[in-house]
Amino acid sequence: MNEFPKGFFAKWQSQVKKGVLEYIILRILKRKSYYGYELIQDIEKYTQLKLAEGTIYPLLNRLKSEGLVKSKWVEMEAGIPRKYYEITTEGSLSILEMKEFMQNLNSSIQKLAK
Amino acid sequence: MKKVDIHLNDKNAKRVYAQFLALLRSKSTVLKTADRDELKTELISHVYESMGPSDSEENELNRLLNAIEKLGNLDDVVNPIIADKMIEYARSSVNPEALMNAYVNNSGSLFRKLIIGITFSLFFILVTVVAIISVVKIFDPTAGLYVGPKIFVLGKVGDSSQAKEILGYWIIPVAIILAFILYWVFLRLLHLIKIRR
Repeated sequence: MNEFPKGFFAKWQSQVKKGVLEYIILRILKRKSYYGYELIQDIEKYTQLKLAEGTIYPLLNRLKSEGLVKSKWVEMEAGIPRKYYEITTEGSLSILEMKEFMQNLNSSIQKLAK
Repeated sequence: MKKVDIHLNDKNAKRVYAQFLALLRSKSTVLKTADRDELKTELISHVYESMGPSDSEENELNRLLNAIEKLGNLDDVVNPIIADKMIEYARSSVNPEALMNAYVNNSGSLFRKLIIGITFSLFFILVTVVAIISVVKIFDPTAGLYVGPKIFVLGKVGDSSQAKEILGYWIIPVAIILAFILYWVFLRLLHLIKIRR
């Protein structure tokens, strides 16, 4: 029997994480607007995913350029301004499509596992 | 956007922070100033939030080091943003340099870079040749589009009995329009790279 390739699971896990992270971000942004640091805290709280915190910014940038989220700078009374992200109408519609896809994928995998 | 900075008291923390900013600056030089400043402010804001309140028990240097470490490898943060921005710049530009930057930052593996590089170079040469022929025709009436039983030449032929020139001076507007169409296709191909990434 072939030996389980070293590091395969970690690589696979990282790819799956990357793939679903945009969906997770949109789902969380649906609740309220977030700034980057706060968003990463809630991603970890709700999903138990451990991520390098900076990886969220390229994703937010891409979601923004696709028109699924928008951002605005908010000055703070003390400290440094925060860039808040909020979901757009297109983003909300995308969630529905992504949700359906995830559900179909999940049920297909469940069938295979039987 | 107004400039922001984290106010630090510890001498070593100041050094670490300065190094962090210098590294960020060196990695984001290809971005336009507004985008670079926005990215810098967002990451400074993140580090500031991650450090937590200044009255915490942990010392300032440790709080800063932890915040930078948790942020992760700067390449993983900056490079994908640069790649996306290059596409954005290329979309709103007809500058070949912007296109090449977009291609270099979005091609993935070396093999894919090579294949896309060769394809785009050939495409770019074709666009250039088509554009040049419209100018050459003005100064040299023998240049043009020649079609014969065995040849198809855009330029000049040594033996004009082998092929017949078609279009004549119409080659000038046709070549200009064709060059624009080819360049538009070139931009669309670049868009495909983003979709495939």
